[in-house]
This record gives sequence, structure tokens and C-alpha cells, in this order.
Amino acid sequence: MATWQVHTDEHLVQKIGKGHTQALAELVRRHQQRALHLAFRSVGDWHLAEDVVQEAFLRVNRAASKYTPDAKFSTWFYRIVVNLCMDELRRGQRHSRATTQAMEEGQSFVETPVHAQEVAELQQAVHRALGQLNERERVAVILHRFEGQSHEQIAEIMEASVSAVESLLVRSYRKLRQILADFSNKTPKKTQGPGKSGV
Amino acid sequence: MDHLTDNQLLNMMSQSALDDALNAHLADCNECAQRFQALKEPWDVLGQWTLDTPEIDLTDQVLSRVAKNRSIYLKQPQALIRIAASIIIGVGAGSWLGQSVARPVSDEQAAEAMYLDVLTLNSSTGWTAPLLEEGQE
Repeated sequence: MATWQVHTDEHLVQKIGKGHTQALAELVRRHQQRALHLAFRSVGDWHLAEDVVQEAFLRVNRAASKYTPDAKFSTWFYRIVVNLCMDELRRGQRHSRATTQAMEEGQSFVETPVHAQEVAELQQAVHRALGQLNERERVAVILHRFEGQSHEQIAEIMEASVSAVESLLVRSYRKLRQILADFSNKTPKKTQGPGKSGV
Repeated sequence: MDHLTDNQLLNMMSQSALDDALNAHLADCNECAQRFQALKEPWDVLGQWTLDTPEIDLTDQVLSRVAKNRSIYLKQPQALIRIAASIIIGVGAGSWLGQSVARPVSDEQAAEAMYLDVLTLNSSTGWTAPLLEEGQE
């Protein structure tokens, strides 16, 4: 198993195409956390995020034999994740529904009771704000703000021009400014997954 | 200096260290400062939303789904073979039956099948006798 760790992502995909299942296992280990974060922030539900990421890896497995390493694996993979997230968002607006449900069920987002209200407020505000953006705006902001992707990378992932991405980001941040105006001076908070421990 | 572009503002926002020249422009240009602030405020608020990594390892789930899919693919050829065999048997049987039906039939066999013997002179039914007598008259 250790031998797979020295391979590049692109080489692993080629190995997957030849039927090496452990190469897929290595790719999952490398990319699952970031993919889960991206999916969770997009769709607003951990279980749905897991489904999205699993499906993304299955698609990688299916397409591996035809993969040509022209683009970086991560760009290709995040494009798959983003497309699946946008499909989920379009399919019945699950984001807002899942978020509302999570809030109503009182998931244990908070670390201590002292911060409970502030964290819940921030959580709701961010979800609500992101929920008011359309799918492309939301995903662009998530890639930019939380995944640290450059404009060029976002353009490649979203299959758009760099200038289109920049316009999208500017428009999105302006919208978010209006929605989040009340939270501009809050102190940093941390959000936990339900029943999970932090790293 | 011209006003800063959106691209420059976005880059300044996401970079911790600001370019000196751009920073100086921001200090002097109220319009650009306002545009920068419009982007920076939501950027900072969103930054407060950090996630603790859930203890999720999808490796086993992904591999088991791959194995499941593979077993389905492996079963599919067997189903295809069964279907192909059914088609071959069906076509073969149909062809054999077709040949049986199309077997050459003698004139006697055909006449017998159509009961044409009743029209012959020596027919045991005697149906043609009156007709023959009328003709003779």
C-alpha cells in the first residue's frame, strides 16, 4: 500500500484505469477531506456531501481508462465534484431544506454552550447568504474563499473564462456584503460536523 | 494611476501581503477603497465559518461500491450469453420448422389434402355422377 503514496495523482488515475483498486484507495485518502468540505459547503448536509464525493470517486474510476493527463487531476476531480454539487442544488433546492432541517434539529454545531447562539447565528447567516446566490455564484465563492483556488483554477473547474469568473466573484461578494452586513464585526467561530471530532 | 481592476481587488483581498503600489492607491483613492471594502467585508465574515473535519473515511465505501459495480458488470456477460443462446435456439428452431413446412409435396398429397378425389369419376361419394349424366344427354 505504501508504494502508492509516491505516485502522482495523474499516475494513480492511469493505474486505476488498468484495474489497480488500491490506486483508487490512495486517491480517495488524498482528496476526500477537501472534497467533503467543498461538497458540504455547497449542499449544506454531511450525508449528502458524502454521497456526492463517493459518486465523484466512482466517476473517476469509470473514466480512468480514458483519462489523459492533459489537465491536473485535482482540476478534473473538482470539476466532477462541483458539477455533482450543482446538480444536487438544482434538484429540489436541497441546500436550503437541509440547512433548515439541520438548524431545526439542533445539530451539535457548537463547541461550548457559551458560544451556541453566536455560532448558530453565524451558521444560519452564512448558509442563508450562500443560499441566496445562484449555484454558480455559490460554488465560485466557495472555491475562492474556502478552497483557495485562483481565478484561473476556478475558471478551469467551472469551464468558464477567467474574466467571467472575476465578474461572477465580484457580483457574488457584493450580494453577500448586503446579506451579511450585520455579521461584519463578529469574532471568529468554529463549526463542527454533527457528532464528529475536529482535527 | 488608473482605478484598480476587479481582478486586482480580488487578488489583494485573497493575499495577506498587499502590493505597496496598490496599497498606496487604495489609501489615496476613495472609490477604489470603497470597492475594495465591498469585497473585503463578506470575505472576512465568510472566513469565520471554519469546519472541523468530520471523522469520515470514504475509502471502504468507495471500494465496496466499485466491487459491487464490477460484479454487476461480470454478471452482465452471462446474461448476454443467455440471451444470445435463446436467440440462436429460437432462430434455429424457427428455421427447422420453416424447412419442415416448406417440404415439397406431391400432387397426389395436395389433392388428397384438398379432398379433390370427390370430383373424380370413380368417387365413392358419387357427387359428380349427375353432372356427368347431364353432359352425356
